[in-house]
Amino acid sequence: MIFFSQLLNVPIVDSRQEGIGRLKDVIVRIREGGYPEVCAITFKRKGVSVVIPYQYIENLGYGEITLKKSDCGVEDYDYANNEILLARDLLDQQIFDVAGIRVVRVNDLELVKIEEKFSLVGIDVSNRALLRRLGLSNMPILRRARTKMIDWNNVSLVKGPVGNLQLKTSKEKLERLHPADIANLIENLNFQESSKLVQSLDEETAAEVLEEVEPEYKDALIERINPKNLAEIVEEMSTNEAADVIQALSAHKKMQLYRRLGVRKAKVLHKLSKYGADTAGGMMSSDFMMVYKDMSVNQATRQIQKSSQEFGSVYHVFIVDDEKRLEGIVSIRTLLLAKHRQKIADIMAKVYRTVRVHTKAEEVAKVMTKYNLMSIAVIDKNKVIRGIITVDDILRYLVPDA
Amino acid sequence: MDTLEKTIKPGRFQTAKIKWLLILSVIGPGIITGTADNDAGGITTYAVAGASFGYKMLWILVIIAVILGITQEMGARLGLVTGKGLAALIRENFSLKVTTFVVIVTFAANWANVLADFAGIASVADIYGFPRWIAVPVVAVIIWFIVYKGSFKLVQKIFLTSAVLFLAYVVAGLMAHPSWNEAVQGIIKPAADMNPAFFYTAVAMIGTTVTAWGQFFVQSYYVDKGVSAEHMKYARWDIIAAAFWTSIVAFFIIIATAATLHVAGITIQDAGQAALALEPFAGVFAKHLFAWGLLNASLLGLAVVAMTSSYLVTEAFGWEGRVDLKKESPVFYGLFTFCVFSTAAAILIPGLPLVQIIVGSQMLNTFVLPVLFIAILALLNKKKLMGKHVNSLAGNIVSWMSVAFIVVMASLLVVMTFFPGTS
Repeated sequence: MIFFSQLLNVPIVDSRQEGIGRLKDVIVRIREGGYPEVCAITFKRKGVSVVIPYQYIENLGYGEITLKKSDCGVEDYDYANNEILLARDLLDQQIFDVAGIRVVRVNDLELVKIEEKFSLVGIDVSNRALLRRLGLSNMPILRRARTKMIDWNNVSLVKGPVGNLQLKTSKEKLERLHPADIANLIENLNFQESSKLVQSLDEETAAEVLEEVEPEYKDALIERINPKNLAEIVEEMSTNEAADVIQALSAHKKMQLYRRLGVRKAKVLHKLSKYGADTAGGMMSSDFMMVYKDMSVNQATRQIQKSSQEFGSVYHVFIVDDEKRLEGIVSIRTLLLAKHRQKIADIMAKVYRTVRVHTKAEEVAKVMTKYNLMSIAVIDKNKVIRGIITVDDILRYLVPDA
Repeated sequence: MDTLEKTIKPGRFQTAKIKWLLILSVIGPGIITGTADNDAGGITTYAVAGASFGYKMLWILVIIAVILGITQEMGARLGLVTGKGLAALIRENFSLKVTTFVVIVTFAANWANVLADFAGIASVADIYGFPRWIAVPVVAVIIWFIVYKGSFKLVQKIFLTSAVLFLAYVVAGLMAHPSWNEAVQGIIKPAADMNPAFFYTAVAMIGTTVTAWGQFFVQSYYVDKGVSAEHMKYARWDIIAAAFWTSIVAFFIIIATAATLHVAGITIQDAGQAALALEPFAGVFAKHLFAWGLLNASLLGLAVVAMTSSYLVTEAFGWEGRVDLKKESPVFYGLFTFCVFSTAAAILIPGLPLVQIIVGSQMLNTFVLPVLFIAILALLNKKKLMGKHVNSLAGNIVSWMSVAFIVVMASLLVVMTFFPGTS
């Protein structure tokens, strides 16, 4: 096993025993389903970077690097897009530790010889690696510092220059995580990096991730996502989350987003975003199951089957008249137990709790806790239903940092 | 689309309001860094300058404002474009060894700086006959508690309020009934006394303006605030406002002592003495203003500098932490706790060689500044890193000249302190 930091500046000696320079960097090739293999080393000759392909290397070690030939350096090396440089792209840069769900800085790299070839196996993020590089690792008191390796398979790069394959493997590793964990990782990055990362995820994951990011951080983050990507992400969000996003945007970005969302959706979201964040209107979602009171149970069930994919969890169905005025509610259980022919109006509960759009969030939480409600309807002064608040929304309000 | 635009397009008034909110969302880091530069040490220098040389040194404030503006802009631009702190950038682009050198030296200089701020607090306690050994620990606990428990927003609000409270010196300056005619003359007509003391004080004023911690702090703060590169314009306003406010505060401190102590021929050694000496001339209220101003400046200075130390080390060695994510950064709070409480304990040691420690801190600052600024300018010239915000030729000339100037001034200060005979 070799530590990359200890290879840096090691003299390179060619087949004529002549020293030609000192090692400046190592190029590795990223492969799918394996550790990246060392494919070349570089050194500087009169200020120009020269590359020596791996096949010309006789021995790679701490003392010196010996070559099989002389004059085997390439000045205009053609980098493949799955090749990265260890010193330039990895050492001292930040990476995601996908297993530990955190952002860490690379203190050293571990190269291991597998079947005659060196591969990049692990990333050393320990303080011991720092001491090693400062030449202090042999000091008696400091010896106790432990080495902490992260397997390459659990590493995802934070910054480019990313070739396609590298981007793909990095992304795959990240997408194994729960959106809430990705959100936690993102909060440790600066906004340039986090906005790039969010935009590299598929829209659905990106929407879920954004919902989990802390509100304060989220506001600054979404401002930096370009309008086209943001529109695609917003399309995947529930309306109340989307309205939150819009509320946080600057006027200019808001207009750009609206243009891409289309008039109908933009108007709905714009209306929602006008409510204060700590009121029922600001918390509510306009995605809810609505059924007209003169329908039969059979008709209602079919409508729910058709549209239920659009909604998150469904606890209640809300019964309205032609003007969308709330008339009653039916729980999913009641609906399941009812006979097909029965009218919805006959099985619905006529006594139920509601809140108004301007009701304070705290009050909503109290009502829902007191009456053990999983969801509650939000109505305006004409009794028209505007949205619903579910227990998830309440939890998010009460525990914003989770 | 027309109807949509009509219904949701903000009116002119609203646009103006949004613009103001935007400015407010960017403003802060510059102002806070600038005013924190006027901490206990800075106030002492200005008070001494006014008492010893009257209005003659006011023109130096113009230089200070310009230098402060130029160096802070460099830090802001780096932070805004890269989204990274200075320590991280140095490590990523240069080497671990350079990073370690810069971090250790800056950390040590900062420690002495925090110590000087506790000395400021102790002298305020002395003015009111309040026991130091109560005042210092109480202040330490309060500062620690605010930074540990408070959110980023709360801490920033407190810092900004503190920056505004420097107004105390403006009021004190007005109460001293300065001669405005002489004050204006002092600004527009560069004048110098041909003696070592004048030169020394002038160098001290400039040499303490630009500090290593200030460069780290301003950059990290813009990054943590999440200001983006497209808002560079507002960040520049923040910095220009900061340069003005910092110099205005210094201006009023100088004229306060110039109009009173200098006229009466009284010389002083530190800011605490200035407060006491002011009373017979400008009234008891002016004394209070000076004392409370010093307290405020010391509090801001020690919180900001101690925080910078923590930022610095965590960022350089990958123990990253941000003020609002305390669950992730025990090292950040560990370092902060160390900086605050070790200095608080040290200041209570009887017979502590305070002056020597502060001079030592100034010396460390001088060692690290050239390294730091060479790194900053090299970074600003990296096209790959800075994109369209890369330094222009004119920018480079101005930057290199300011950096050379500040390094020479800081070095002179050290030389003259150590060899008083040479100047």
